[in-house]
Amino acid sequence: MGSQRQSKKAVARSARPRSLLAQPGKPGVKTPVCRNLFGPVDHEASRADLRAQLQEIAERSRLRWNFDFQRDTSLEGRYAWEAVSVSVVPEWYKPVSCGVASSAETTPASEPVVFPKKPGFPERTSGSGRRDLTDFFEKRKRAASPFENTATCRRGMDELRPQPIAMH
Amino acid sequence: MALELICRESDVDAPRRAYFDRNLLSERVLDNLLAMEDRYVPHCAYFKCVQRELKPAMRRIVSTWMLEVCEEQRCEEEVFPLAMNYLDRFLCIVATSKSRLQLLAAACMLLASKLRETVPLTADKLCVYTDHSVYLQELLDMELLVLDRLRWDLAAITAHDFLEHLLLQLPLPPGKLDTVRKHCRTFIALCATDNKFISCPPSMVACGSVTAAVHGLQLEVGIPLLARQPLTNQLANLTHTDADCLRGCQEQIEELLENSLRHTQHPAPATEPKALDEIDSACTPTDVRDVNL
Repeated sequence: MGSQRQSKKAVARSARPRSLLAQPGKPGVKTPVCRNLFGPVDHEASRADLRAQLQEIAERSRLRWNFDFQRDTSLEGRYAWEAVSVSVVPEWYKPVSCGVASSAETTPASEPVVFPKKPGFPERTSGSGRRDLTDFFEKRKRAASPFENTATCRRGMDELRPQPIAMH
Repeated sequence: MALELICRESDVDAPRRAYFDRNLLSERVLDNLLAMEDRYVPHCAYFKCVQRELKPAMRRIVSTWMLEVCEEQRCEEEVFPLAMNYLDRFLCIVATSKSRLQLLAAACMLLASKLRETVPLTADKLCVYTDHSVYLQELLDMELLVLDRLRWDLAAITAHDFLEHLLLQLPLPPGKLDTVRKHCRTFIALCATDNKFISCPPSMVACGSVTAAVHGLQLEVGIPLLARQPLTNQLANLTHTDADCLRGCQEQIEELLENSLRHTQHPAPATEPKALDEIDSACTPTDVRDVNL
């Protein structure tokens, strides 16, 4: 298989690079796809209803696990919860702020964590790690962004990005 | 060898996928997929028995919008059918108001994209696509609600999961595989927008799309095994379905295709033809028109 052919294929696939895609978040950029389908929304009612349902979910899991996920405290019940040192917890349970930062840097080894870690019930805010991570790609191409990340996050993502000569 | 790798790696912006692993295209895997798919098929006619306010036309509107978002953001092919699967399964169990449907759709896309993509859609971007009729916090709350109602069971099987299994077994002319695959993917997306296929098992949608693609491209010429009858029988055999059932599904797909082509050939000012136009131009700009009906 000639490398010539291979490169042609690569060019064809990248005919519409992601950077040229519609970026509806950019000021002044609004594609026809950005539209409200079913008219005005009563956000107050919507929020109240969603809150109530999430509260019900939280209550259900609180009872199920006898653990208050909102306050991060254990309760009396079926399970006996005990704190474990961060150093013995597998990597994936440790809090990661932007996806790739090593937890050794972000969490002091002595700080105890409750095991298992909370599965992310209602306390999730707009600053969740997931969003920071995914927003990063956009941000690199924008001059000014409302969401500024930390330097560590930036470095981390750069390491994640595939390099043109990563494989020899 | 090194040169080839460099070429692929320089293609930074396109989503990168692993090569097909033959071991994952074995009969055992296909059988597992077939055994699992029923679990994820929306089980009720929810417009009749669950939803009071929602009408079938609203699903068409919302699904068309979802497809447009996925196309504009160049999501991977599985994201859209997967998001539709979440939407349908949610609507099977939760009565939802019209004003909440777009929020639900956005949450489904957010989840499907996270599950299937290396670089998922962001919640912010989805809010912008609703023209800010959905707020970020609402979207994040809704995401959690969908997860709970679907019991966190998101790895649903879509028609795309069957595609390679089926294509591998067919005596397709050399060099035609990519075209057939592309057509099939377009048809699968088309089926996901249409209400008739809500409770159709993904394997059947995949089979129907394959036959529609093969015959649309007139590949049966000179290859008797690809003629309508033997092809249907072979696919029915592979997916352990009844050939008549499969034929019914194929006819529905071909009908759907014909309708959407008619709309694209005679664009009308109404919104629906425009939507179908979008499907055509977004997925495979010229391919659909190449299909001879």
